[in-house]
Amino acid sequence: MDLGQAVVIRSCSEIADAIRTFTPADWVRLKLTAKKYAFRRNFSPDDLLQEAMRRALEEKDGRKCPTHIDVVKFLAEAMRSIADGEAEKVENQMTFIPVANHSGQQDGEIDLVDSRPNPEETFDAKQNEATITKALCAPFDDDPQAREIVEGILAGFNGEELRKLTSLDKTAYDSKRKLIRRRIDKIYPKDLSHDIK
Amino acid sequence: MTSSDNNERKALTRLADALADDILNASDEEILAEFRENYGDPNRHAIDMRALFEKTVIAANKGRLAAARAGAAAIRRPASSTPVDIAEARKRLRSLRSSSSVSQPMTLAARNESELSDADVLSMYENMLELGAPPADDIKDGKV
Repeated sequence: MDLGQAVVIRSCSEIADAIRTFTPADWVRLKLTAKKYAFRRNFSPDDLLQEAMRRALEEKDGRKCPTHIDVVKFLAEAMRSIADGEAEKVENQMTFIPVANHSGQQDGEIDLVDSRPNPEETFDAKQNEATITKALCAPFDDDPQAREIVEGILAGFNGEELRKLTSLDKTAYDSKRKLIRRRIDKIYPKDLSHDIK
Repeated sequence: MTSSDNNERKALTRLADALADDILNASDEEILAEFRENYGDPNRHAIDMRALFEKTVIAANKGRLAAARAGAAAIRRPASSTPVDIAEARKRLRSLRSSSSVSQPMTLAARNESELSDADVLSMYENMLELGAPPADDIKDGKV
């Protein structure tokens, strides 16, 4: 899109019309994407997709879809943002700890609770993170390059970096990515994380 | 919350991003074949998803209607929530009863104003304002 060009936004009815013309392949793309973004979240892929559509149809404070953006990609991005936002909300939830009224305490004196995780909590969280990484990489024990790609994605490497890291050409790299996706889908057909113990 | 929770979320989001990217860029044939293999008939799935979408449209419309109603109620509310002096309201009711501008005959209840409770008088007074009778204050100020 030309940067100087004004962005034209789709109206709610235009978004609804576009959704009504989705093909079975479009719906499959959205469902599979919803499954990916519902990893370790407290909502189902269908709930996530429905929430993305609901926000797209909201006239006032809903998400804006420019006409140059494909509606399937727009809804996929909406799901990503909702899922990430919800996860962040859960992480940032405050824990209210009742403060006992100790005798001998002066008026106005406040009991400060140390909110830093104790060593045990830190250990549990690290264990949890390691368990997830291990569970996600385990299906690729027989394929070191695929395993390396999954580890690299989890660590934040981009496609180009991963390709160099694994010394794969574009075609071989794309085919590994496809293998990864298909294998993960097969092993965790419902929701990846809920199956990880 | 620990930084490790955050790391875990970020790592999973990165993996989901990579997989979603591949899904969005895969060909129709490829994605349909994958779905058929793991989940079943994509046409049946599309029918279910369209039904889910129509349900979402109904829910969004209901939400829009509720918001419109709340907006309309908020506009109406200030007129009726203005504090009303009960003595003034009774006086206004009496004056309306005797007013020649009232073309419709008043109900029996309105005619026996002195026997009505304060709540009934206020309710009747508000009804009259809604029907277009000028408020007591306007009469006092000489606006009517």
